[in-house]
Amino acid sequence: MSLDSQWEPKIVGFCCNWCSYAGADLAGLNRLSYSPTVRIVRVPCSGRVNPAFIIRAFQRGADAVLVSGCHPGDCHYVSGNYHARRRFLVFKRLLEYVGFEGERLQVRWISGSEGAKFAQTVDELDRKIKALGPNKKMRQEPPGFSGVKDHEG
Amino acid sequence: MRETARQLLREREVGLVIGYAAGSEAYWVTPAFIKEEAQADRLVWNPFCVNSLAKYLINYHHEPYKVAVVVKGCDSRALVRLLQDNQVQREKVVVIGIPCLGVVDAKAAALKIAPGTRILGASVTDGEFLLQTESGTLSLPRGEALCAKCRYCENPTPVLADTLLAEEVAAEPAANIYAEVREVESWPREKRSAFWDGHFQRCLRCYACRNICPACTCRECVFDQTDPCWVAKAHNLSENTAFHLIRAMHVAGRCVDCGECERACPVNIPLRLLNQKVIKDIKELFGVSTPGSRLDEMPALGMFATEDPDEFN
Repeated sequence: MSLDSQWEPKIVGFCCNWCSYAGADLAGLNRLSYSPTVRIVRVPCSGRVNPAFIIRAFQRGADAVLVSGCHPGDCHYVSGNYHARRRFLVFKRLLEYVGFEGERLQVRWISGSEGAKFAQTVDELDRKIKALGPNKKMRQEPPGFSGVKDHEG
Repeated sequence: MRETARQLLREREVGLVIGYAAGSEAYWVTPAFIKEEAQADRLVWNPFCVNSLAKYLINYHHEPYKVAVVVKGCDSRALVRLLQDNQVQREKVVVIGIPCLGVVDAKAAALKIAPGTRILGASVTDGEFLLQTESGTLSLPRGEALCAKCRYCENPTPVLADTLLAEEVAAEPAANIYAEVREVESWPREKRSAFWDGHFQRCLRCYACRNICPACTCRECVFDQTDPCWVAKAHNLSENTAFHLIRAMHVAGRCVDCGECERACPVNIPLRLLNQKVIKDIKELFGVSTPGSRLDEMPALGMFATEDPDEFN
């Protein structure tokens, strides 16, 4: 078996604690099966997601990033997702401008009751990224790469 | 300008005037910090006054005296940036505005002007920059010599000024400001990627673009932090790209399109093409004006509207 056929996408999912993380939880409770290629990072709010997080993910080998938060109007902190919406409308266009495939950054509003939507979003993204192949832009993983030491330890 | 500076200093209205003085070559001017009336004769104004002086104000914001600063239209947007960011207090600044007919790109001028030439006077016509030198009048055709940022100028007249030193200049209708951005957008993805990789590859990470930027005034810059270390010190394409993308997002909605980053860049990375992309998108998406052109309009990414476009459903 060649290395290529073993390749599975790596998707980093930033899920807001109040809606999308609960949505992912509900998907699990309902025994919905969705692609295991997503790695969920719980964040307090979609507004907490700094574009630097996404850049870092791409540098360290992510093939796609999913940012997910409460629907506009439903933010636990009132307006975090409105700020996130402006930010990611701009950031996604900027990524495309410098040569990323736009599909690699996906932003979705998923509420705590939308377990099925969460599963579907992840599956859809997984399919798209499998078609696109691995991300090479900005990637920092030469052979024997031991990883720049993170402050997280 | 000299008379205005003399008067301000004589009447002790300001303790310092920041303007332009002749540099070591005809096509360079240097910032001048005039504290005494007698020195005001050093001040010059000519089509080589490209650099923005607004950011120097930050160095004086703790001083007890007021500071007068000379601004062109584009620099006045930078001043609005500093005022909105509370880096400078309006009541401590006297703004000497110069309606501007465009400035000369020093690199283009250096090809035409012999070393050691002294400029005695200058005038601007529709088609050319006329420079009076000791050996006669020199003409620089506008098409060749004009600075890129002046080709589509939105604010030839400063948006903010206490005194204007010339007649107001009307802005031309600016339909094509983002023509170059649109061209890059129209390229296939691979070409865009190769284009920016080629430029980011050359970045020295000298941070001149940050240091000169009127929107970059953080006390501790994210790129100087070592913990957390968002951009490593390592010099490679990935980290360089991270630097430029993070910087573009940090100044998104705040970049006033003064073009100083591109001018300061020692390896000629087209930074304005990157920042203009963000400005263009923000204007199209959220219906705002160019950052810095209105004192009452705060940065677009610092606020929101419930009716903003949404493509994330």
